[in-house]
Amino acid sequence: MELNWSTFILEIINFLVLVWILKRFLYRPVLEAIEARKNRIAQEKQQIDALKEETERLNRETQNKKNLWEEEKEQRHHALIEEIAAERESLMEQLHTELEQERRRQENLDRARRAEINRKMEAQALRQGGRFVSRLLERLACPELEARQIELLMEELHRLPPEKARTIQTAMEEDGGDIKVFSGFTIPGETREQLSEILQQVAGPARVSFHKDESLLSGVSVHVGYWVLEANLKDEMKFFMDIVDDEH
Amino acid sequence: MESHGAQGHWVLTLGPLEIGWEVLTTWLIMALLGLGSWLLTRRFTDDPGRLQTMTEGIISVIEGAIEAVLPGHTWRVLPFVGTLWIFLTVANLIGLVPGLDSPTTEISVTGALAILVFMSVHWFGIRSEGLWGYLKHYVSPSPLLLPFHIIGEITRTLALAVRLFGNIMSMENAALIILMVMGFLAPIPILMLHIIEALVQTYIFGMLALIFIAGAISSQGKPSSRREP
Repeated sequence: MELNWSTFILEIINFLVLVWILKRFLYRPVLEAIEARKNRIAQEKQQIDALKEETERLNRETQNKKNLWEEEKEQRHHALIEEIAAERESLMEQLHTELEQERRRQENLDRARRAEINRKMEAQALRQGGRFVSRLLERLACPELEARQIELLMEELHRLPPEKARTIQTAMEEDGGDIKVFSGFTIPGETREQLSEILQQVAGPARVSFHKDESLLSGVSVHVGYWVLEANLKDEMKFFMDIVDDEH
Repeated sequence: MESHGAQGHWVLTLGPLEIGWEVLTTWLIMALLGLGSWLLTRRFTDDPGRLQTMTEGIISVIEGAIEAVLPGHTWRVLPFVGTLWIFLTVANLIGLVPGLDSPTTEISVTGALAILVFMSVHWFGIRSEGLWGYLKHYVSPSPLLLPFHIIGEITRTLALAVRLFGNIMSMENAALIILMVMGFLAPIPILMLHIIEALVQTYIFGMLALIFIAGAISSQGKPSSRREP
């Protein structure tokens, strides 16, 4: 352990040189590299912060827009619900009106259908009644009935109003004074005389001729010119059939 | 021009200067560190590899240690204190290489480093406080304390030199004795002890230098909170 001054001095110089070498080739490059990296990281962090801030701003804007959209959607939803309710109410009223009209139309149709059925039934009843009466009158046709019909005719002629009698007289004058009497059966002589007398009383002097027409079934048909007086079953049956035809 | 030294090492003489093995070893260390630094830092990139990361990590640790003790003066003090730590680490551990001895087993080397620390304390103190402001702290709080301040400066520098020299020299001698006594039965534990001791002494020397400098820079009634171990 002895101090060597040469070594002592050289070691001082060596260390100072080493300090310079390391400062030049180690500390400065390393610290500069670290500083550069720190600066780069700081810049990147600043950029990231700026991006983050921008992102947050965009997020806030997006959230605000979303809220506005939600409110608008809610308002439109309510408006749509109200509109649908009004439209439904209107459609329901229209439907009720149409249903009422349809119901009334159906009722009218039903009434018309029932009236038509009733009318058809009445017509059918009338036809049946007419056929029944026709068959009945055909079976009832006989000289006695005819005599009774002639009696009724004579009573009617007795009660004939004067203006009607003038019409008959006019018709007879235009025809030339002939009176033709058609009957279903042969009229007895006494009855012929009574009938001729009454006809001449009504129409005035005339030639009365009697003819047989079996198509009359029973009763007489008096032809005075264009004037014809029917008092027979055929005319009565025709009357019933005309009623049926009129009903149709 | 050549002769054997006291311990059997070759010694070169250049005129009045004797270049011993310590100086040669120091030059070797300087060459290794300088060349290594140049090779490492010339290929620095933004995407660091393993060596760059390791280098930056070492420098960052040193910078962090200095910043913790002396905030705001890191770049001013870093070259000196960092070089102390790096040089002493290599110098203390180079004795593990067969055929080489640690330069720090010589009192001339540790004394030179201690003197450098002594000078750097005043250098940084004067640069920071000015000559008059720096000298004032020797007479504060009372001029009566001036002798004690001077004695303190001398003794702590001496302690710095002797501590490193004594520990490294005694450790190598102890390791040599153990190896001689126990043969090759316990080389690895001894080597581990050597490494730990070398690192601890490096840390202590550099940290004491940093504390002394910090005390000089902020010396006006603001002693460092750290104490000498």
